[in-house]
Amino acid sequence: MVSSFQKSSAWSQFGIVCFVAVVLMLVDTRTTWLQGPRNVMAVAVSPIQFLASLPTRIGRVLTSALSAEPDIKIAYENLRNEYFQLKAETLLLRTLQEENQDLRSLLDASERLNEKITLAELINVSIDRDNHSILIGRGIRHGVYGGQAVIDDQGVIGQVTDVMPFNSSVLLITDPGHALPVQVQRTGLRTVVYGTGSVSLLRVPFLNQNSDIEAGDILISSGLGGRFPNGYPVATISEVKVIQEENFLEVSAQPIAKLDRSNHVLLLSREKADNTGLVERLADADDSGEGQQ
Amino acid sequence: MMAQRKTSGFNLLWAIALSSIIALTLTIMPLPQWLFYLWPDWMALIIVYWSLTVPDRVGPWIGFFIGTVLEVLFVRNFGVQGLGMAMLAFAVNRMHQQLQVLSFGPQMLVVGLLIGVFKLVTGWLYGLTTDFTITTEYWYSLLGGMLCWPFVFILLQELRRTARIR
Repeated sequence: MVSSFQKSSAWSQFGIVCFVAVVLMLVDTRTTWLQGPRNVMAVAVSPIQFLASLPTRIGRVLTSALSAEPDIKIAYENLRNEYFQLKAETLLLRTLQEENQDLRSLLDASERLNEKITLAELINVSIDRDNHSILIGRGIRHGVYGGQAVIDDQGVIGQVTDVMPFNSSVLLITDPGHALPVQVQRTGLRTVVYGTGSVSLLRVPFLNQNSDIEAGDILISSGLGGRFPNGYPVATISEVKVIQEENFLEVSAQPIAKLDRSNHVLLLSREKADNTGLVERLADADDSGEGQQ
Repeated sequence: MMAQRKTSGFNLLWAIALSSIIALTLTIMPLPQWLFYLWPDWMALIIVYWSLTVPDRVGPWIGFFIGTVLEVLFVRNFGVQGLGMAMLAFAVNRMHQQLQVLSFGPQMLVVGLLIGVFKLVTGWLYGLTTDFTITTEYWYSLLGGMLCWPFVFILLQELRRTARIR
């Protein structure tokens, strides 16, 4: 039935499609030109995302509607207690913050930047061995920017990698391609923690044999690299193995944040969203420091 | 018979859109851990069906378009899924006469093979463009896809009959 003309046209059509796809692939891996069209299309397909999240939403509504009153009362009591406890701690925190500010100004150190916290809902989780990322329901419209730090109520989750108009994707700290500058809370030792591809395991590869580190130590973000603000808990050291022939210790750690269990995450944004403010402040701090010497 | 061959393209468009929306929704639905790797590549199944039953109108271009939509949803590199889907649609187009006469069993195997090639190609391309490597779990969805194929086929056949697409 198919004439030779039709056959050849089918092949040439296929050839054109392949060519277009390969060009698209090259352009998208080498440049950022396609970010705009991607954003437009992301808005167009957002109803599908809403549809996909419907079962979970309905489930959530049903569980809240069906849970017995005593349970809710207990949950309410617990939350109330927690609230007052946290409130009391915050009071203490405020005085500490002021004291810290004063001490910093005495030392001529740069002021600690205040972070604004925004709540975001989880839309999609895609965790396989090579790609650990989540999709959250905040985007350009809500002031999200690439490289923004994402935490939950326990610790650091990851950083924003792609921003679309209404949602953005977050790379988790356990992604095999992710590295995060940290500090051991007990000793102040600075190092870098790497993702492994397993949700409950992180790697701390470059520590000397004589480094002061032990199981149970808490790693906090060090603020180096400029992406993550310092002081947020990242992981606890789970194992320190000494191998005689190797130069470095084999250290594994466990993330503190509930990477695969939280429904909501928090976005940290600097008071000045653009990086120039930060750079200026750092430059100022450097200048004044040099002036002193 | 030949006069009836081209029914309204409008119906076909709607049928493809409807099945695609359902498949895309299924694809990005949050899943429990045990089902995660077994979950079929719904979009690939849909593409196989349409390029099998309406080969003169559903081909590489529609595959390419659907693949691109998938890439927007998953926030991945443009072009990879598009190329894979286009190849899948083209391959099915080429062998639609042989495939149509097969019974469910062998058809399932051939569809599994085709989607396997599709996954291999996209896996390689992701390996080239990002730091992705193919693992054993990557192939589990093939099994799920093959098991779901007869149901997808029957449901879409029903849809095609209602929309009077020939």
